[in-house]
Amino acid sequence: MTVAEAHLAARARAAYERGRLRWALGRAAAAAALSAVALIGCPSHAAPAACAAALGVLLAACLWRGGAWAHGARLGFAAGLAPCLLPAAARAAHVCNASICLSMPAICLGGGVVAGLLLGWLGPRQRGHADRRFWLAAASVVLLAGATGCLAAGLAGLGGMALGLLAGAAAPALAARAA
Amino acid sequence: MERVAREALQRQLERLADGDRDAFHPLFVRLWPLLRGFAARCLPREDVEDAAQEALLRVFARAAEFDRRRDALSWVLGIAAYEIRTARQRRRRRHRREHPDDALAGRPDPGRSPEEIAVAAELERALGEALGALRPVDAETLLAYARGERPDLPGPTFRKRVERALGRLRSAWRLNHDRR
Repeated sequence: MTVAEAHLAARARAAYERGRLRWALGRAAAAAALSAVALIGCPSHAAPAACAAALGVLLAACLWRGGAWAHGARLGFAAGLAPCLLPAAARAAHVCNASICLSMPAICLGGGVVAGLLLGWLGPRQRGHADRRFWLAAASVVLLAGATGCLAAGLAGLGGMALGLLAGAAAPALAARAA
Repeated sequence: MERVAREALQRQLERLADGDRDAFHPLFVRLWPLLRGFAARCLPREDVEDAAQEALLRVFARAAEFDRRRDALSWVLGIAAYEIRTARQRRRRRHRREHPDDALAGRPDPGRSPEEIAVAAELERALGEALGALRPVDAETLLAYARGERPDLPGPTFRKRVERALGRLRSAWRLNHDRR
């Protein structure tokens, strides 16, 4: 490789990283905006908004890095939409009107179960699932997305979501072992 | 491009789109000569290097967007073709700026081609023959009409004479052409 070609390769590499970052930021912003729907009708906005922002940053980082990180983050976000949006949907359907709602932890538990099932069932079918980084990214993203929706229900909501997530994720593994 | 090289390009671009930075160097080594050759076929020599570099940088900048269901070579050449078109436009603009008197040089010659001139001359000759076959009063009417003159006649009368003369001219024209 000549000096001119080496210089061109360095410019191309920089162009690739810039382009990849722009691409990742666009997708992460769209995902954060979608998860921000969970804030509709939310009695307190600060903590869920911080979770949505953190989710955007984490997604951008994972997508920019690519590989197992990106695959895990994509699956985690898809699964995390259930606990993220179900509480907002419940509020919109007037299941909960008061600022303290007793059915909210149950809704978060249900959302967590759905997210866990999706993770446990789809995860092993994804590219890069054998990599630990895949599961680390998926778990981080699903927790942040779930927290964006369930944090409004307090620690009970978060706990319900985490419990449902574990139960849902364990179910496909147990079923596979039993079969 | 050979099938094996094409498949290798597809694999490398897919890996890079997936975020595998190890695919960068082999892809660069494969793409640079390809894009330079493509630009050389479409552009004058002095513009080849710049256009190929622009195309290469654009391909890498958009590599993350590459969809693995698409054909990598077509995707790359599509981007390169766009860059080449841009380089051509840039060159045209530069040329116009540097040679303002020659601004119309790039456009097709608005003048008639020798073939068109010959056809027009033949038509004029045939028209002259057809006019010669008319009665003098009809020929005068048509010539006056063509020149935009109006003899000392009422408007409707002149229009009627023109229509009749044109009808006779058509008949004479058809007669001459059919005979040929």
